[in-house]
Amino acid sequence: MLVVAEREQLPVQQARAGDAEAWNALLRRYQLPLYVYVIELVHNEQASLDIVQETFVNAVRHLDSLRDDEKFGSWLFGIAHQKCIQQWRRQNRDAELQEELADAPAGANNTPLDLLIREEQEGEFMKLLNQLPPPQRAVLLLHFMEDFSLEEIAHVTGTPLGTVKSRLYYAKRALRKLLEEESS
Amino acid sequence: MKTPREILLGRHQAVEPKLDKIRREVVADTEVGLDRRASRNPISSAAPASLRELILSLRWHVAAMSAVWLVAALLSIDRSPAASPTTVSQVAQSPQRFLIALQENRRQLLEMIEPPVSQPRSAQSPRRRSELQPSTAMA
Repeated sequence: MLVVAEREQLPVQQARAGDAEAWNALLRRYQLPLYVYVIELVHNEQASLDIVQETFVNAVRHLDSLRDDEKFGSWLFGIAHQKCIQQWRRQNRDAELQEELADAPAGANNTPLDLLIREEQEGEFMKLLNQLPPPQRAVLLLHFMEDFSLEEIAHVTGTPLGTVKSRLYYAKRALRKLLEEESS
Repeated sequence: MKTPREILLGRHQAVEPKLDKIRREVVADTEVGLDRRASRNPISSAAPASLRELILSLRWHVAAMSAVWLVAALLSIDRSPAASPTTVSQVAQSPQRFLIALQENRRQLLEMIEPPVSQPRSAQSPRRRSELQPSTAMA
């Protein structure tokens, strides 16, 4: 069972050469994780599908700007993240984006496997996820969905590394608290 | 027990057909775009690059040839217009002068080998021929 997205070999080089099949494979690999990331931030299916489509089109047009092929995933999520910010701005939710937290204490570098959720907790998990402020939610989703490193998440979200650490720490602490309460 | 990733992906699995459709459209547009670019001007994409490479590879040759032609042009400008006919006539006269000089040398040689008997020897040593005929001696 594939629990976390592995660092697989992606046909980025072939896509650069204009190979349509390579593009098909690349976009198929990321379409659902990307959509999940976007919908959990935007909470609007149609807007999310539009963002995924725009992200794909931008990726096809601007692949030349990608310097490191291994960073294709974080690069793609970065494009989608910018689209989400534009969507938030349209919804006049800038106030939530301005939220900044203090730097996190050490020990926030757990893996996504640290959190295992029982079936009866899934609803609560999703509820809590959606209660988190968008910046924290974005960091947590990137961590869960693609197991991006803190540096990659910082790159995707365009925020300082310390801020990413703090957001991930507080988001995971909130989730743990919930799960502990549920289990007790 | 499930991971957060599994939960998240599972909750949105139903949207996959819509995502497949979006993906197919984007890939089709990619193919159309590439085909259109290729068919619009099949040479234009390759020609500028190859032409540039050709020019770059020949730049030193072109520069050297230009320098040679420049020097040649400067040398031809420096020559005075009257100099050319003179040179040509001198070149034309040179065989005649050569023959005259050859005949003169032959005559001098004969004089040295066989001195004229009929002429009385003067007390004084004969004057040098160069003093008598400066023009022929020079030749």
